[in-house]
Amino acid sequence: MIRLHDFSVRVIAQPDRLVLRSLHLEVPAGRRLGIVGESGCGKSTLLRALTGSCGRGLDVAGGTCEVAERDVFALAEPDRRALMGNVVALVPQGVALSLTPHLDIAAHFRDVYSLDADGAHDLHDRAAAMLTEVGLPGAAMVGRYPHELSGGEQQRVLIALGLARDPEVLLLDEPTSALDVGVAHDILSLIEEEHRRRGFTLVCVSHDLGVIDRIAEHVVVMNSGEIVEEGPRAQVTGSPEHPYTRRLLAAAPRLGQRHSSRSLDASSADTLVEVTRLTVVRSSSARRQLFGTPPRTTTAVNDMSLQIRRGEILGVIGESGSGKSTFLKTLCGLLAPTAGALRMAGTIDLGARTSDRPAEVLARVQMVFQNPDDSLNPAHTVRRILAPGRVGRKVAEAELVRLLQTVGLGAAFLERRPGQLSGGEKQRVAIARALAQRPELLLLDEVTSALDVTVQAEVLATLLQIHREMGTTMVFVSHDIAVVSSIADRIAVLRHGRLVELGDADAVIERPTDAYTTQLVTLARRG
Amino acid sequence: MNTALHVLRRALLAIGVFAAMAVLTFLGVEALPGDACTSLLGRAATPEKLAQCREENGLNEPVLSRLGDWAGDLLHGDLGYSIKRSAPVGEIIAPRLRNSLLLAGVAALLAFPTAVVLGMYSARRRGTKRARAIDTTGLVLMTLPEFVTASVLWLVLSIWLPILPGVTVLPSNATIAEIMPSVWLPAITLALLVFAHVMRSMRASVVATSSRPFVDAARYRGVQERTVMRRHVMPAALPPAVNVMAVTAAWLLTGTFVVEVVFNYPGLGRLAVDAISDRDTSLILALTLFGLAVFILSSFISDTVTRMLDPRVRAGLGA
Repeated sequence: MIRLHDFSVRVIAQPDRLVLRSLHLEVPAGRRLGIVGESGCGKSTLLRALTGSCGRGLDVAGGTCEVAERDVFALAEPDRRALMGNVVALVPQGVALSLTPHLDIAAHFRDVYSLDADGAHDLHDRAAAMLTEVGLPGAAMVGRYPHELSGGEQQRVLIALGLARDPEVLLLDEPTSALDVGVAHDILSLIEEEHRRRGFTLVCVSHDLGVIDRIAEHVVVMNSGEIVEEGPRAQVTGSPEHPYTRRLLAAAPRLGQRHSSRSLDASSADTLVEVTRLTVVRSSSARRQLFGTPPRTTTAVNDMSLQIRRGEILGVIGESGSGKSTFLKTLCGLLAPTAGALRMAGTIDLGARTSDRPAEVLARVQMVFQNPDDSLNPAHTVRRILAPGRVGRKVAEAELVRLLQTVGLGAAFLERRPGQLSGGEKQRVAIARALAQRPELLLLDEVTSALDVTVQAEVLATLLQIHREMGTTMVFVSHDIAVVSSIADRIAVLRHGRLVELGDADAVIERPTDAYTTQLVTLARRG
Repeated sequence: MNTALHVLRRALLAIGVFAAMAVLTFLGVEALPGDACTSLLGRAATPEKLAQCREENGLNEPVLSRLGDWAGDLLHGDLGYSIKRSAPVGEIIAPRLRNSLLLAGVAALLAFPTAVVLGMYSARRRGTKRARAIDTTGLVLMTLPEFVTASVLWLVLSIWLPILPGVTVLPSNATIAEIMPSVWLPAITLALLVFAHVMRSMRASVVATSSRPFVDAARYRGVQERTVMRRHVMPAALPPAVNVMAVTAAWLLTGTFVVEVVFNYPGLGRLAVDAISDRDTSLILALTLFGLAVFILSSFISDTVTRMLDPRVRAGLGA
């Protein structure tokens, strides 16, 4: 069904730079192929190439790419277009951005069905039937707009649109990224079910070995534009041959696999931060409009009480909308509590916003954000990022170098700017910036979720080392229970703004008491 | 929020803005040195004659009471009386408003559809010679001052190839048929001026929209290119261009002083220039308020179009 022969793709502007290097691959009809690799390995380019187009700025450097007995790059443009949807359909990554915001769901189906000979008649019935097949209430769904759907519903609609004309090949790019674990699990089940029902050839690309392990029969591992390993799933994930595959497998966080040696005697540790009945109500807009309806409000954190112990790593788990980020932002003063109290070391009121906090309190609580691209000023050098001069503590030259060493970077990085750093290096700089203030409490908001697994493992190791050497109290927030369990001493589980479970990491993983936590643990074990 | 409520809210807001601006304008004109009587009498003004004129025209009343009278008249649709021109302001404005609408309408019809089509073309074929030629031409036209464009057009179309009259010699109340030949030159000048603004915003908007993920997503499930452009790209690309078009249309109605003076076209622009040099306060007031109303209306229309095009704005979520 799919046959690549010595297939290479290059950057048009730099013909020497190959994005895909002499790939050989054969996928028989009806097979489920998984392609796994880290960002920049060429896996998405390969997927796009199967539709006969490599993407902007790229072209074929050599070899052939055959899909359903057609050399897709030899096809005339109209023939290639006719292939898409009919023979090959691709569901791109980025669920939230892949549906056209101004069209309702019926209109999405009309555009796909209007290509058929019988046109778009009985459109609503056909769309509804297709939506029902992917597990949505079809008739109720057709008239709705994308922004009215949840992420999981949007992905179901996208899969339904891809399958609408019964293609022979379905290409999925990161089908579960940005979805909560439970939802991701359901989407993968749906894909398996559709594959059984329709028998198409499936190619699924993911950075997440768990996803590939779950969905593929045959696995391809890519690195730097090359296929480094290929084989049946059990063989590749069970007894990998290539060192890169082994590294990838080792880096993938596993539930209950702790990297830290617990140095903390939990029972005797005193309380650093006391959170008492914290409630934070957030509103959709900062001000009320003239003659307008009042802004919508959501209770992001609801009546939450817990203690952060001095010297511990407290892991916080929750899906999107659980209030985990709001909790962190309130701790560091970016948001104000609506009710309840936040007290640090018994005396300091953390209910104050950053603008009302004295400088030394600001220094004592530091936060590292999810995306270093947003949180580091691209115009500043690392030196200026770590020691801005006007704000915060003065940092001596020798200390700057020591800070960089602490996060695993060398002195050479001082004069670089964020644009010259990799994703992992940027996040290390962001961590060093927080450490420069010598914080007592370090807040980490999804700091590894934008990173590749191998880089994630390195950053987690760095954090643990900092914890061992400095004893900094950390709150580590993530949606990924496996990542949290690999670093945290205790775990708090949030759902819909409420604290549903709190306990020692091992206890929470081994004997969860809450139904939601049990579900998270079960899903994580299966992945 | 439903659309009727939204329209009502916007209307109330517009009326409030209009009323506040009307009062400010009145007080602003009041603060200018001189009044209708000094302007009417000119050099013949003596203290006695001025006092008599002010007495006859009620200019000695306190400011607030005159503001009240003026506002009351305005509510009844009476724009006031021009002492200088010895005629009701409404009668002076009406025929010129018609001429200005004609001029702005022709200019908009010449400029907007061409600009939207060429903007889309240039966005889709960016990098090609033809697209670059279109972009450069637009840029040159945009930067040329209107009196230069006007003079060149006049030289070519009126002197070398005498197909269009260069200067209007008609009274403001001539019939549309009589005035039509005189519309072309100023209308083409205006169209060339505003064309590039609309085209460039359309181009930028189509380029930005084309790279949004949902466009590729539609292509990847096999939607035809024509449909992708018409139904996925265009409705998302239009709002910024509609915004520019609305502001431009308002400007075409109110800001065309230079072109009207160059071609001696009897529209509101020339009237405004005359009214200001004459210190014809009631006329200045009326024209200012008219301009204000045009801008409020155009932004209302562009908001409404945006709402129609984007369900997220309708739901109050912001785009």
